[in-house]
Amino acid sequence: MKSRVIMVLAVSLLTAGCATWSGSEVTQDGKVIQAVVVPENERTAPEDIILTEADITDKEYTVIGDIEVFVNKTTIFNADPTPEMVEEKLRERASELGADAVIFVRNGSVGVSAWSWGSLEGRGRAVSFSKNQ
Amino acid sequence: MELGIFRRQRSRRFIQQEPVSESGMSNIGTFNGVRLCIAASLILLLAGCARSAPDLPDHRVGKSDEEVRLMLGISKSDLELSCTEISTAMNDLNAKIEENEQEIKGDRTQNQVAGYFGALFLFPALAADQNTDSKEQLDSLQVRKDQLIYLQQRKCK
Repeated sequence: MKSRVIMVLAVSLLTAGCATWSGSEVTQDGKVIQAVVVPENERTAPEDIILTEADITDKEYTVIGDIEVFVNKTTIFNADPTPEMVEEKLRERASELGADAVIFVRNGSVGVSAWSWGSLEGRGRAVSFSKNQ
Repeated sequence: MELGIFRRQRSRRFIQQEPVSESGMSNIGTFNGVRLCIAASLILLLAGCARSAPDLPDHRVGKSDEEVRLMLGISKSDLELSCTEISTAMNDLNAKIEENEQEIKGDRTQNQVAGYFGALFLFPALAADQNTDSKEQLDSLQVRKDQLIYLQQRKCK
């Protein structure tokens, strides 16, 4: 019994350094797709990706797909994931897809999921601006 | 049949060894396993499930303003709102969203405690709140928020 407790504590301490883990999926018309990852030299840097809750009306864009990301805390002892973490994950994923912006950004509420004691989901639509502007 | 596994029992002056039967050991193991399952299930069920992010609006590329307004469910009275009124409505909405989020967050800790105690005594588990109303309210507030964002973008910028 004691050895089990020690093992659980040791695993918790080891994994506590990785406070969160995350994942994502891309959908189009409600279906999950295997989105093409753009080469690094063709991507917009994550920090330059525009994130907005609204639509973008002053530029023409093409829709790449709807991104759904989730950020999970690793153990019950870690801090809950935050909207800022979700936004960072949205930027990273959008950059990989060759997007310039993510529109209609929204988050869920933190709670227990099948894989984590604290999970936060975020969504947005990845778009790339038309080049002939 | 005795397995030769003994449970050590301390007395005041010397240690006594009391044999435990095979069926007794099996019952203890089964009972602990069942309790563990109940505890895990209760904690998962009652600790407060994560609310998914609301669905995204339909695509608007190539759609006219009227089509977009129909999709969003924007009424004629909404179209007559001034920028100040839209801004006030947005502020009120954000306050309601924050209120619901805080309620969900506040209940999470309480629910987790209820889940832990529920593994031992069922009745505290029944007091846990899944915040269904708050979550549904947040989803409907998002719909209204999408409408106000559209109006603000069209009329006020």
